Amino acid sequence: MSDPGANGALIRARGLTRVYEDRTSVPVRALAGVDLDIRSGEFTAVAGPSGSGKTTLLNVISGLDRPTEGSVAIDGRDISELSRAALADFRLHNVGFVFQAFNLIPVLSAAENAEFTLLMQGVPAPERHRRTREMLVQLGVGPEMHDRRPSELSGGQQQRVAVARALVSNPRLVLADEPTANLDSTTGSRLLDTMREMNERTGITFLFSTHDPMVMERARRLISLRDGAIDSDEHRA
Amino acid sequence: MLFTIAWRNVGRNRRRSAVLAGAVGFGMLAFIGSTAFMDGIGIEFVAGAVDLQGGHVQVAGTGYSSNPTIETRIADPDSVLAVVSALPAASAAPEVVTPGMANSTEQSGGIVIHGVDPVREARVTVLSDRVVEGGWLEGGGEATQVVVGAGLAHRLRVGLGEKIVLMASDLDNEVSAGAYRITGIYESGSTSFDKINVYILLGEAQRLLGFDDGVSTVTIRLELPDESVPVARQVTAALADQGIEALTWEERNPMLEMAKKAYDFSAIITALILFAAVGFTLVNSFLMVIFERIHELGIMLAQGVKPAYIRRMLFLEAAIVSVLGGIVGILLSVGVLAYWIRNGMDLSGFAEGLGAFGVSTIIYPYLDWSHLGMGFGIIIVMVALSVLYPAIKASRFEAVEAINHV
Ligand SMILES: Nc1ncnc2c1ncn2[C@@H]1O[C@H](COP(=O)(O)OP(=O)(O)OP(=O)(O)O)[C@@H](O)[C@H]1O
Ligand SMILES: [Mg+2]
Repeated sequence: MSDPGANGALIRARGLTRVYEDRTSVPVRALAGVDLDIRSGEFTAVAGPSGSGKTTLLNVISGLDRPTEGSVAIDGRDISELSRAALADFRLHNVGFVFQAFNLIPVLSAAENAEFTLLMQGVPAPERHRRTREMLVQLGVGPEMHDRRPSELSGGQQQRVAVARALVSNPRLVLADEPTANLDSTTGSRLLDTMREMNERTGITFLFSTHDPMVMERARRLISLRDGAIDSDEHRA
Repeated sequence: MLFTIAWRNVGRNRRRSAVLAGAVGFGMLAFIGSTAFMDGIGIEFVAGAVDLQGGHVQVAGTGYSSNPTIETRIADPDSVLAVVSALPAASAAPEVVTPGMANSTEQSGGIVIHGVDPVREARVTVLSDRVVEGGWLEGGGEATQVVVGAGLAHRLRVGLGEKIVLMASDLDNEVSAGAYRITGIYESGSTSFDKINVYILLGEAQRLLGFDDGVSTVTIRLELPDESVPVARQVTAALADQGIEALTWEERNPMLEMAKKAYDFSAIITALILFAAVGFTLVNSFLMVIFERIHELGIMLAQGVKPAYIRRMLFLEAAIVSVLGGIVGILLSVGVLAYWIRNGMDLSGFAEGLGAFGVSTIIYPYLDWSHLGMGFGIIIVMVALSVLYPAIKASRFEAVEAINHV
């Protein structure tokens, strides 16, 4: 994939504010004026205590949620102007998702789950199968597991399948909200190692949230959130 | 893949899917059963109007059908028979018909006397085959033979070989009477028909009423019933100058046609109500289905799956369940109806109303295969309608909220 954003920012967020208004309780300011640039190819962790706004930030960046104020541009394109359907299409072609748990469609096998995005994109079956199986193997999901249903896989294996699904369509960006939260520390760290390896090999940009120090350690850039604002932002080797 | 997902989703909660399929199957059974039954009644209606008397086309003096008096007659039946003999695949029988009285030594009652040509009559009505005691009229036999229905024999308390007196008004309005010996007793299948219709020889009836060679009607039976209308038109055209008209069985029985339509209509309404009930079960189940799967639907939506895809998936799931149910319903229907199709269903206990139309009280349900297609058509429409609301609801979920819902 060509990479026009290599020198500019892939994600450019300005003044992101998200206020949850609930008729029954006081409004919650989950994001309070976040400015953030993420370059193509970064491997960035968003850390912060529970309730600091990590999930909200990722949702707003991916277009799953809309900011109350501020803007998000991806590849210079302001996604706040897109309609719901256009956003869905945008996500299909540009964003891979890994959620905390239960990422997979229970009635589909590991391989079928992993190829789901490609299916939705209309990639022909032979190419779909080939790319999916290769990706699964690269992520350490051996062929013997390809035909198993999610319920027959361990939590770590399920997350690897989810990462395979997110990566196989070569998106601009993979967003992972606490991908390791349901895994033990060792398994979580290994998943992160694999993700980083894929980031290095493919150049796909990763943005993930965590509050696990072992996971933070593996990030090349660490953004800390506190009360919906960026508290610190450090780049590492 | 869409089909694979839908198919596997159906298998996810087998018991619920089975219950749903059962509901659809039951609806199908009810639909096929009621239409088969109504078609059976319809066939009996036709049989009552065609097979027992009147045939597919009845030729008579103009106005006879609405006011059947003995004065309205066909003076020269041979000319009618000549016209009919030129038609392909048609049989005709001349007949004298008059209201009258039958008296035994103990009882009397109002009847309709039919004077028929035994051989020709046997070709146009089924009565000669329905004789259960004795035999049908014999052309060369004694002039005073009479064949009566079992119901009338019972009412008059007479049996085979016994004598009854038949009376009728002749053309001069004089009472004319004769004694006849019962040589045959029939059971037509319609109890009310059996109570009032007696058969004597044509010549004997002509003599009784002072008809000379005239007859009341000529009954035409066709090998192709669908030809009734053109045949009637043709015969009328050929004989109109003699004051004669030919009417199809439908024209002679407008009430029958209406009754048949009313029965059909009620069958369809019943089926629709049933299918609507099944439809609401479907709506309810699919609302449950989408709330159970809200998290995974959220994951799909987050990835950029189109809401239309989710709608199609749910529709397909409902369609799979319903088609399976429909097939079960058809098998069930065939199984349940097979016995009655073979042996008939005896409604004599509660079908006096049918008897009034000259309809047999034994109904043979009739499986019209086009109704299976119609049943499936209704199922597809019903599924589409009942999945519409849950599917729209599912495709409107906000991905974020759906994912958070565990
Ligand atoms: N749908 C919502 N309605 C109201 N308030 C919300 C909603 N979602 C999140 N919040 C609030 O917004 C704030 C930020 O929530 P968010 O989920 O982004 O935090 P987080 O950093 O992801 O936390 P965690 O580590 O627990 O996942 C919290 O105070 C939370 O209570
Ligand atoms: Mg969170």
